[in-house]
Amino acid sequence: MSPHSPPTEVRSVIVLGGGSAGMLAAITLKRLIPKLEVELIHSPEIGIIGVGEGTTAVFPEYLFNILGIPKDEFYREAKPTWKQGIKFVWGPRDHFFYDFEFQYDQRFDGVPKVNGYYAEDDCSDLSLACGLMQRDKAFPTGPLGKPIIKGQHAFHIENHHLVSYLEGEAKRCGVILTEDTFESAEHDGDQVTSLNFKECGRRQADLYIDASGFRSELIGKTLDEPFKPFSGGLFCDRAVIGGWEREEEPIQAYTTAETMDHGWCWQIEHETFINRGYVYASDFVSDEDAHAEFRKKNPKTPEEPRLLKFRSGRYERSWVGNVVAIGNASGFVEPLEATALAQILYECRWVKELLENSDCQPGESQRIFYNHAIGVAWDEIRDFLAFHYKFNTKLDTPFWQHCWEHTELGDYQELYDLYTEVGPSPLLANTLPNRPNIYGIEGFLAMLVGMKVPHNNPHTPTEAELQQWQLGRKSIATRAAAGVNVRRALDAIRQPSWQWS
Amino acid sequence: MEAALAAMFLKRGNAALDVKLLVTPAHADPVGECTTPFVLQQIIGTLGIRGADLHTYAKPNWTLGFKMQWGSRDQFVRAFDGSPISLLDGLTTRNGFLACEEGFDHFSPGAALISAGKLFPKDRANSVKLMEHITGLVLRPEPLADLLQRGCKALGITRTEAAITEVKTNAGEVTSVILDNGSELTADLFVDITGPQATLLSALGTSELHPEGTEGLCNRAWTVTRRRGSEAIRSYSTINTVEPGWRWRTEHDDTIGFGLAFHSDFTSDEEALADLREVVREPIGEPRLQEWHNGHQSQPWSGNVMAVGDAAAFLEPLAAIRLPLLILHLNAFQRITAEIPSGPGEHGKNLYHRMILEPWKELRDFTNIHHQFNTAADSPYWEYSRKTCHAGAHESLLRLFMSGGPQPILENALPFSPCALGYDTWLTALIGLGVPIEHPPTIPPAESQAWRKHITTLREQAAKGASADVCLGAIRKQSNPQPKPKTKTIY
Repeated sequence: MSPHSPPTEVRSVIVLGGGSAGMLAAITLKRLIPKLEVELIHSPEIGIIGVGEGTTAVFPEYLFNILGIPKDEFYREAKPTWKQGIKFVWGPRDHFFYDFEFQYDQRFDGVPKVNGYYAEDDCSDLSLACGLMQRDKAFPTGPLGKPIIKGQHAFHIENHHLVSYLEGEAKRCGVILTEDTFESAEHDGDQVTSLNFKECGRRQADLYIDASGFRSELIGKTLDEPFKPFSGGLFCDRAVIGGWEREEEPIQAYTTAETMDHGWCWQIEHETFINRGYVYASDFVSDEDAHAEFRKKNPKTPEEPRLLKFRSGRYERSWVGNVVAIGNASGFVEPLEATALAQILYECRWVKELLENSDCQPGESQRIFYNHAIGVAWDEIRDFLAFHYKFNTKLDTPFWQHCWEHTELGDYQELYDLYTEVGPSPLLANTLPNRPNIYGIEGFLAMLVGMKVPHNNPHTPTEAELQQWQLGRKSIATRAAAGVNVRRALDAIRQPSWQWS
Repeated sequence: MEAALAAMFLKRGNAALDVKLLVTPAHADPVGECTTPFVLQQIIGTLGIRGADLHTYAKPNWTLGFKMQWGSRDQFVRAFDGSPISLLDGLTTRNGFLACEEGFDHFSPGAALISAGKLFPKDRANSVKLMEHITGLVLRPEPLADLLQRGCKALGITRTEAAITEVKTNAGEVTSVILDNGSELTADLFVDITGPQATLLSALGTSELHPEGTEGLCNRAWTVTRRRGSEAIRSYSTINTVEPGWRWRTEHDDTIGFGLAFHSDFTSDEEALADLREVVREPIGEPRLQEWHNGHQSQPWSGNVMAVGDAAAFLEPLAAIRLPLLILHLNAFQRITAEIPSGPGEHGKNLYHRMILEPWKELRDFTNIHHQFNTAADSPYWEYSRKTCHAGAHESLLRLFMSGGPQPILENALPFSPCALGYDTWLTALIGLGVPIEHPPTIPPAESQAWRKHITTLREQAAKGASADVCLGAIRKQSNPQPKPKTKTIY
């Protein structure tokens, strides 16, 4: 089919792949466009990646408010814990927090400048979420001492629990689930004409969702779409993954990202399990030495952690002909900002919107827009992660020296250039290359201020101004101190009397 | 007028600035211009000019929007209010889809008033409800300039009236400006508001005008006024498609301004003037020829010269946002200098360039789309313009609109955010132009019926409204109350 052929009406969809990407795509399409026939085909031989995941705040919002998934059911079966943000053991400070609220793109009452201009020495208690995390709390409390589980928060969730829940949800909303092993695909130009499976043979549909993960069976292998590596900004390409059963350690309401000699280490907090993983650059350290460093800093991890190799980058286009790639089949970056599930939801949402926009007859306009939106999103993630690497002065190893010198900031170079002149100003929002964007200016400010990246426009507040600013922080600190931790919040929602609003 | 407006904005934004205003004497074009509600809000809210003074001294008219003989409809109304993505209570179909089917010219209070030939709704029997949040102004430059001069004086802005005879430069900066009265002006920053010729910026030679994507637009216009006589004042500006280009009409109390925009490659100056004279047989004074180059400056802030308004970027005046753009430029300057008191360096100036360029591109694409979809005339110019004008950075928005219509999700396809014109303005224009929609939704009959009822209500309310003549008469009287005659007492 050429770009000028009349669009085909999409009545049937085959989703290839049974991980979180495939399940979310299938549920999104079937639930929100019920007239579609949606079949998900997955191989029992391919395991789920099996890492614990952190999400971003879009995840609960999407599940509950867009897909209409009942909260009580989800909490019961998928067993998430909560995440208010990320604790970065990163940069010259001991640590700093990045949450889903506004810390830096906001101004406290009575002060003339936004928070970043005052936070050089102390960047704590700039938002309620930040205050809660600082005090090992999860949520504020209401008048009866119950946790207020609202607002912008995310989840820590074990992937096998999530996929298992989504499988049940997919069945409930009418997705046909089929177990079979994919063998090959046939295509004519940019149109896949059929998929061939071991048991059920040849299968056809109007639209194919490639959720086959790193394999990228359709968009990569079959349609041979060019892959754009992110090697200019992101140098890590491996991860060792481990973890241990939780003992006395408190469940934190944040993911930890900790600087390591040749990369960084995550800690994801599940109720009974602590998931740990070390992302590193194989050009700077052998697998054995990376493992040794990992074990030394995490003595409870198993002797033989899992090793994962990956390449950061994305396919040039995620929608080619009648194939849409979602999740790792579309692109991948290390989980520094827990972007995987957010990107899946973004992709799912836009497929659905563009099918509706075209009354399920997507043409070139829809594909062009989708590829632009998804490409921009991937590139923004790339450049946002680049900021993490470029300015992290926590350790002075060859790896980090390489990052300072060679990390490219891509489309966000202009933002950094202006920052050096103006400081952590809301004016930086005018340099965002594509808007609306995922992180807004807040994310970039959080990294720049959090890592104390120097600039040439310091602000010297008056004493009165500083006092007024401190009042704002104190108000946050007071409310945060009265909060509850994750354990107590979990206990609260498991009470028979608990009601989700 | 623009210079005084700019001077007041600068001084209001930073009282510590020593602002000097240089005005080259010239007779402003009495045809005037119409503006959007944003300008009225800024004049009152930011400049602090009292509404009563505005109406007393500047005597503007109000405008609710445009009536356009343009596109595939015979004509359509584009009011400043109205939200195509809104939902009426209880309905699932957005207003824009319903308005596409019927009632577009009545789908908002402003549109209904325009269609009824009224300006404001009546409040009670003998009063009107001023809805200045949805009206723009029709401005006469000289009375407004006089009012703004008073404002400048009150703010301590010194004013000099002289022509520039020489601009001295050195190493990429203006060192001084020599005037025809023999004096010399120096400053830390020269704000170039000399219009499209950008006198000061041009003297530096560091900036070029880039016309990118404007080849299909008009590049000249004749303007003229005539007496109103007994003709009713319209509550809107009128735009008509004509063979050489398009013609506009602006409404003042006692005069009507006309302009005819055309492209010099297709119509000679004489031919265009002859066309205009067909409509304006008894002009006041001689018609004026305006020539311009559509485009934006590559470096509007160069050295110590900052171009604003038409000196920074210019387009044919179809969308009537010349003054809003000027205010946006000044606002950009204020935001940048507020954050960098010592003055911006290279990156701060680049930011200013971006803040000029994006609204200009948006306006360019908006104007281009009007030309691209204007099938109201088939002259060689219009054939050329339709073929040449493209949606530019807004191509995705246009294509997705043509697929699915005025959906809220398409706001994500706007390339610049926040956008200068507003998403509602874009959608209203696309619907009004009759841009075809391939996959409109099926509207439930009950919702069509509810919509019809809503439109009828708006139409009936509008019909009872007060005309522009009545409203202007009332506001003029209020601003200039006549003394009551003394009562004669008889003892």
